[in-house]
Amino acid sequence: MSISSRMIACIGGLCMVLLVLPAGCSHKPKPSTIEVAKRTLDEVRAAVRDEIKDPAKAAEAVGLVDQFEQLVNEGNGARMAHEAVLRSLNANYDATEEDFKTLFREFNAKKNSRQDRIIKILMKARALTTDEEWKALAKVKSHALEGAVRAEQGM
Amino acid sequence: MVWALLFVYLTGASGVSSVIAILDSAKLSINSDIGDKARRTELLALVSDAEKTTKQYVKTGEKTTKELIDLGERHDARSAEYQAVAERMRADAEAYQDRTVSHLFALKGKMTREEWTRAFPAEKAKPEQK
Repeated sequence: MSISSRMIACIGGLCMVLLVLPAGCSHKPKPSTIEVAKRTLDEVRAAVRDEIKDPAKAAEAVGLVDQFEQLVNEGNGARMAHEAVLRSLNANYDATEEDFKTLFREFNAKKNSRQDRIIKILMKARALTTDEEWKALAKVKSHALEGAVRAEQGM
Repeated sequence: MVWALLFVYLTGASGVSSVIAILDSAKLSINSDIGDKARRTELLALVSDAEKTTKQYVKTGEKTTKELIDLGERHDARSAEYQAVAERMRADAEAYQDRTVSHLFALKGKMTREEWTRAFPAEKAKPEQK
C-alpha cells in the first residue's frame, strides 16, 4: 500500500470514528437524585388524586406532597452547600477540628428540623387516609429513587 | 417505600459521598506523592481506618432504612416510633462526623502542608455567569 493510499485509509478511518462518536456519546446523562425525587413525588401526587376518594382530603394530601417537595428542595440546597464548605475546609491546612465541628453542628441543626417536619407531614398524611388508601399510595414505584438514594448515600 | 427513601434522602448519611471522595483523593495522592514506603504504609493505614468508619456508618444506615421502610408501610405507625429512629439517626450521624474529623486530623498530623495541599488542592471559584 502506498503512503498516499495509507493516508486516505487513515483519514477514512478517522471520519468513521468522528461519525460514530457523537452517536455513541449522545446518551442522556443520568438524572440527579433530586430530579428522580421530584419525578417520584409527581407520581405520588397522581396516586393521591386516584386513590383518595374524598376530593377535599385529596387536595389536602396533595398540599402535603407539595410541602415534601419544598423540603426536598431545601435539603438538596443545604446538602450541596454543606459539601462545598466541607471540601473547602478540608483543603485548608490551617482549618481546625472546631471549624469542622461547627460546620457539622450547623448542618445537623437544620437537618434535624427538616426531619421533624417530615415526621409531621407523614403523620398528617396518615390522618387523611384510610388504611386501604395508605397501602395503595405505598405502591408507587420507587426503584429509580431507591437506586439514586443508595448511590448518593454510598450504599 | 417511597416515604422511607425520601426520609433517608433528606436526612440520611449526608456528606458520606464527599468523605469517600476526600479519602479517594488522599489515597491517590499518598500513593503517587510519598516516596518513603514506611510513611506511605502508615498514611494509607490511616485512610483505611477512615474508610472502615464510613463503611460501618453506611451499614448502620442500611439497617435504619429497612426500619423506615417497615414504618412507612404501616398506616398505624406512630410519631414516637419515627422519633425513636430519628434520634438514633442523629446520634449515629454525630458519632460518624466526630470520628471522621478525628481520622482526618490524624492524617493531617502526619502530612506536611505541601503534601496536604497537593492531595486536596483548593477548588477554583467558578466564574460568575452573566
